[in-house]
Amino acid sequence: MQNTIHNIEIVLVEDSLEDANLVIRSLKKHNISNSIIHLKDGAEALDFIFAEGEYTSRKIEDKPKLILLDLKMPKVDGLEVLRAIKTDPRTKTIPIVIMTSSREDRDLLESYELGVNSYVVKPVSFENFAQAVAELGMYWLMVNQSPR
Amino acid sequence: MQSTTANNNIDYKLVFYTAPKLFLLLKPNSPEYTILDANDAYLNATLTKRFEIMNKSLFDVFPDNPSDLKANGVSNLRRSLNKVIEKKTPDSMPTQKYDIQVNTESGIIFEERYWDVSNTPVLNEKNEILYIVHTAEDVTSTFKLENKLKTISNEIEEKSYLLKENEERINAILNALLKYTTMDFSDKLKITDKGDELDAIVVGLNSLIEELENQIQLLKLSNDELEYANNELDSFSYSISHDLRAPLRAINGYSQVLMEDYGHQLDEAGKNTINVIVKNAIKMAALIDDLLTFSRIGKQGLTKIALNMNNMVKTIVNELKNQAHANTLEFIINPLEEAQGDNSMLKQVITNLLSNAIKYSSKKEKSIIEIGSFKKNTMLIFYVKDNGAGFDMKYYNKLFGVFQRLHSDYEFEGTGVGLALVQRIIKKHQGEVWAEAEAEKGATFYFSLPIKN
Repeated sequence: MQNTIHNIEIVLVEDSLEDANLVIRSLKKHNISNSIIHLKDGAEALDFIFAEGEYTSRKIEDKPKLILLDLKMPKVDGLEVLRAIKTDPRTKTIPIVIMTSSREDRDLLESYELGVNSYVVKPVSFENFAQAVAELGMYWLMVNQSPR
Repeated sequence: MQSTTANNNIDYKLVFYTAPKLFLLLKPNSPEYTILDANDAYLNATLTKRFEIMNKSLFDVFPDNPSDLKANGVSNLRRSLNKVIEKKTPDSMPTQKYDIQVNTESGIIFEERYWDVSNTPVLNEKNEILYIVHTAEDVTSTFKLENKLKTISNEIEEKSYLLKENEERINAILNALLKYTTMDFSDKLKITDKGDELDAIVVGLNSLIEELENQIQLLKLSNDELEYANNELDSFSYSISHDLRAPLRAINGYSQVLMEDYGHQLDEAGKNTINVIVKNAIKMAALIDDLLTFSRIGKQGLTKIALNMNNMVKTIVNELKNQAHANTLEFIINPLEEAQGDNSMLKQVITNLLSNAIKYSSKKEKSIIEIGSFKKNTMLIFYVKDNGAGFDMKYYNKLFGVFQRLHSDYEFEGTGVGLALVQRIIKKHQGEVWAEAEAEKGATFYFSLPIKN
């Protein structure tokens, strides 16, 4: 599913391969088979979204339907990615959901100040985690209408 | 009068000479006032001899002290004598300084003397003055004493003025000290030019203040260090909350994957093993959460407000009732006093105590949980009582320790942080937590809060 970088619908930015696989597994399990790309850190995420680096062949206008963004990542962290996307008029309408282990109030507050669309604390329990991922996928891909 | 003198043979001359009072007999011949006679007492008191003074002018014998520029003995005495002659009545003089001459080895000197003097005319039948009787009393010692007293009382007056002045300075020092207790050092005390003990105190105080200000500066520095350490701790617990949870999620998630994808290849024992892994990962996550809450409460500041404990308890009881329970629950909620405290922290306390009461009474047929409050001295005391498993009081010292448990996980699940958290919060409120219990007969937990902050 990651063989094409065009027509990507879900961008998963997550430094933990294990967590990323669980997210993808949960989405698939709930029949959300839209094309997903997994990016391993914030720098890669920015390159992808803004069609730079190894993603210059992309077009910024080909916006994904949803970005699932981890907060704590090497190089460029989630809050910086969030700020970059939400302050650029070309990308600010992309729905971004923070998925993080952090229950810290300051992260929550800053994310909302930067214009995050949703903030989810990853539960430790797998069932809850799968449930949360599935609900997010359903809502943002099937229920929500984003401006094109 | 004539007849009495004639008849009794009294030696009046001897009487006059030996009379204890001082007498001098003068001729009324102003301005000389010739001395006619003097008695022994007079001669003794004036350090004169009869032959030296007889028939001499009074003022030749007793001149003013030439070294006393203010001497007025002669003029005042003369005025009194003139008055006697004029009015033919006795005249008393106010205490008069009239120094007398003394013969010493180094010549004649004047000695200071004070006298109470009266001059009395002796009249014949024709109302003519025959003599003037001059009496004197040496009041030098009394007068000097009075003078001394006057000097002393002046000194006292002066001293009391100084005292008053010093009192004002002491008050200024005390006021400054009072200000200093609130760490306000804007009032530097001034040193007077007196150089007395108070000045010494002021100098001492000023150097103390300086030292204090230095110490405060140092404290501020170490406070900054503490703040830095606190921030470090903050990012440490942040890392814990994020980094420790991620691997747990992986353990949990992949155990589940194992179960889903390969479960059919496992027997019951294998499946149970996976469940144990999952259960423990979830428990560790709960431990991390509790520990984080525990450390956060330690750093957090208090926002004390008046709290309606009735409403708070009702809300919490309703939330707890909605969760699944092994048995039936009965709550006895007595009317509660209003408390002063931090809303979210006290909510945590009530929640923890009530959840414990529910948990530890879950093996009874019916949980009976009572909550109430009462005042005792300056404290407001709340209690939560249950009919549950209770505990043996000999383990009481472990009750409020972090990660300390009096029941096994097998009996009652828990992380061992709940009561430690309760104690930490209540201590932050300057209150106390304690409990009474008996194994299998229920427990009562109390916490106190100061009535006024």
